[in-house]
Amino acid sequence: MTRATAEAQAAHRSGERVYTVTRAGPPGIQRYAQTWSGDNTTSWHMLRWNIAHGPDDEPVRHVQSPATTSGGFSGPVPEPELLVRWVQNGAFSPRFIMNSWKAGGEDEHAVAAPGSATGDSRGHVSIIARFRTCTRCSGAPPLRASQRCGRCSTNFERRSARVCGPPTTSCSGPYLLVAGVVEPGQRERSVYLPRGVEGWYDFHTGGYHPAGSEVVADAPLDRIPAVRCRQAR
Amino acid sequence: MIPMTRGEDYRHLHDETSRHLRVFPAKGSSRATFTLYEDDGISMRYREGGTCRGRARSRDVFERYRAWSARDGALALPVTTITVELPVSERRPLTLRGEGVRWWQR
Repeated sequence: MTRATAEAQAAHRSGERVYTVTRAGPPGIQRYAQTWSGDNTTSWHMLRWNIAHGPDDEPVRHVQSPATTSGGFSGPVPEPELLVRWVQNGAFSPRFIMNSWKAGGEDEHAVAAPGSATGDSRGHVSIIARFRTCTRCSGAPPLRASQRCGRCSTNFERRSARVCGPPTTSCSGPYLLVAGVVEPGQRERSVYLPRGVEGWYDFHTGGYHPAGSEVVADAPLDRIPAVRCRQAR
Repeated sequence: MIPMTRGEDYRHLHDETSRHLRVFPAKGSSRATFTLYEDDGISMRYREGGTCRGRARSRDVFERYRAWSARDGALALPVTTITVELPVSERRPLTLRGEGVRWWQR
């Protein structure tokens, strides 16, 4: 069905690129569509598992660009802090989406009104704007997918699974490691910096850390920890 | 290197003319190359050469950085300004060389 959709779209607008989305598919689906989590539910638990969902699916289905609905599709209206953390994580995903259907008819965008606590997410929304332009025009997008970090992924996954349970750290593109904040009130978090690369730069501060170390990164409400690996050559 | 833009305005998602390159150099001696690729993002003309590429290279101990050295393809460069940002901890001397490099600040 996804292939038929893509082919129909290509036939209808032959001079333009095809863009379709689907929430499920077998290996090879990446040739026809981008995927996302489907209709998720608003909760901290769901945020945690949505982060784990992307990297875990990628090697199985060759999904290139998983994404989740930031803030959750159904369920309660997200509390402001939860929405901020979801948006921050979504800012580094290859497809940022925020749509919802709430039984009471509420709109998540009302929670994100200027002056509210979710104003802290605006800096990350601007990151989306700054990334998306380059992603759109890049044949080799800078933030391709929540794919694993080349040579370091194995170490990372093993340690993450042992220490944290479901991985709350994922890779955005081949070089950027993003550490999700998935608990209310959390203002710092431990981040393991995998071996296999020369070292890691803090994306926000520019500070340098050796590979194989574990750092405690600040995670105020206006920042999600992220590091960029420096590969040895 | 992570290519971004200077603009944070959604109204210019499709005609943003700035590029902001965040460079994360090696601590020691190294050579690195990065290719910035551009096309119109909408049409299929990229299959027929409707692209352009710029190459950024750093050499040795990051003493020289060639910011924009080559292009190919049929698409005119849709960028008017390219800025480069280094980590705050970077203190090594740096020289920018390339077409149109006019100003830099350490």
